[in-house]
Amino acid sequence: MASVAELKEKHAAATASVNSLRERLRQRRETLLDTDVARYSKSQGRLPVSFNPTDLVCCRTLQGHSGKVYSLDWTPEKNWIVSASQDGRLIVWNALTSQKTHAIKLHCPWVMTCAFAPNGQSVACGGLDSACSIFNLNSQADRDGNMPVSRILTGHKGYVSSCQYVPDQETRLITSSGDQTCVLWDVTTGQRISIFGGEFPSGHTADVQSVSINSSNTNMFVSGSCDTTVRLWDIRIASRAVRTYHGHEGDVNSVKFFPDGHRFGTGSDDGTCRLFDMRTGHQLQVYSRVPDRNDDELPTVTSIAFSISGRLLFAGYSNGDCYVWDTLLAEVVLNLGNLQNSHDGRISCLGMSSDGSALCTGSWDKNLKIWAFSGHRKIV
Amino acid sequence: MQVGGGGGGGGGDSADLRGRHRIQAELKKLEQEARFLEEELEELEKADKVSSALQELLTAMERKADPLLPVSTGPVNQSWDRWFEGPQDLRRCKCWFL
Repeated sequence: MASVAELKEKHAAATASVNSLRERLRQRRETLLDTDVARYSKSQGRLPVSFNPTDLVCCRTLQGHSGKVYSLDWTPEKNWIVSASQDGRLIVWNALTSQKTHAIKLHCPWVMTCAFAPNGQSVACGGLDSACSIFNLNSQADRDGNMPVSRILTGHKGYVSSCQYVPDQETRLITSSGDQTCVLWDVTTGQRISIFGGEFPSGHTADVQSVSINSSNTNMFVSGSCDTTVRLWDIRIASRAVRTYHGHEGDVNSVKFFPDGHRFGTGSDDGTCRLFDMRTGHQLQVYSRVPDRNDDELPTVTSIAFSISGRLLFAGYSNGDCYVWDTLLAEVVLNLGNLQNSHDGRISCLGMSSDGSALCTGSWDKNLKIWAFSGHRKIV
Repeated sequence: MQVGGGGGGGGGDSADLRGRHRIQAELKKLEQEARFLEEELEELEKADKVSSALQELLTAMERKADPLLPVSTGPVNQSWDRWFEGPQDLRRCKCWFL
């Protein structure tokens, strides 16, 4: 048996080897970064998107929560939205009519995230109770008007920060948690199918804040963490992350797949959004805001969403701004936070309707707003 | 990001044993990590420069109709403008507490 001293020696050598490999990887990546999206797009003659002042307008305000809105999600087919709030309720909205169809009082009011099932028949939510609760929207409410929980997914050892159903699979859901892991669940049985991270190497080393499933290949998902990295996972191989993406210098609060499924965007406490190439791991672009005179400290990015083509990147910031970035030119083309009828507080969550015709924003001002294009659309 | 140094053993035999187990576990993790990094490096040796992937990004993006853009490719879907038409579903609110 090797002595402690010998093991220590081996450990030191392995540490040096890992550090050297990381450095080689970094250097190799640098040699491949011959341009970024903005420089390339300019070289190809692309001009920034230009909005008139009334092109993107707030066309609905969804009022009903009595606390900050923390999370929202659209149904894939209908114009329905579920929102989760500090008031301890989920509200299901018909976004077109602004009417509420369901208000669900939660047993644990400390909710952080919510999601609609692909068929629009169930909603899921999670938060500080470290569980994910599923509600069937066709269930009958009890005498007090409370909706029964149809399933509680337990097993996380920390808060549930984010949840998303696997597209086209009502029975599969992925959660991220403060326990540094993500979990794939069978919603029907309540069983954990796979745990991503935790004791395995190449897992996150701090709280996981956000997940996004690739709609082009639903076996793949990305997770963003307070360890400043994003990791790509294959749900068929839980034992290791497929790839780790470095670059951010703060917690990664939001990850979102790009509509083509080949790239993904991130939003971080370091104040930047970034675009990564999933396959190669290249960081394609950094979207950095110019420091504002009013910024005592750099606002953090709380949530992101892409327009359906990917040309627009919406980013909510901790100071109440909601920038619309031109993804190609890396320029801010609009600030929804400054527009008429905008929110009075921080925009905490963003979501794009499935057909891309409307953006929903949720805010600490207790409201949700629907934004759509009302200008003259030029078709080329 | 640098990997930190390993922990040392304690004074007595049991501390020695604990130290040995811990270092062995860390060593295993490091060796696995090194294998993953070597694989990534190998892949990266064959990877193209960033610029080669960007034409595909531009083409894919500009091929897709986007209802939120002032200038977009077609086809236009009439339902995009439903947000500016009158409410279409005025069924009674089914919510119990409001």
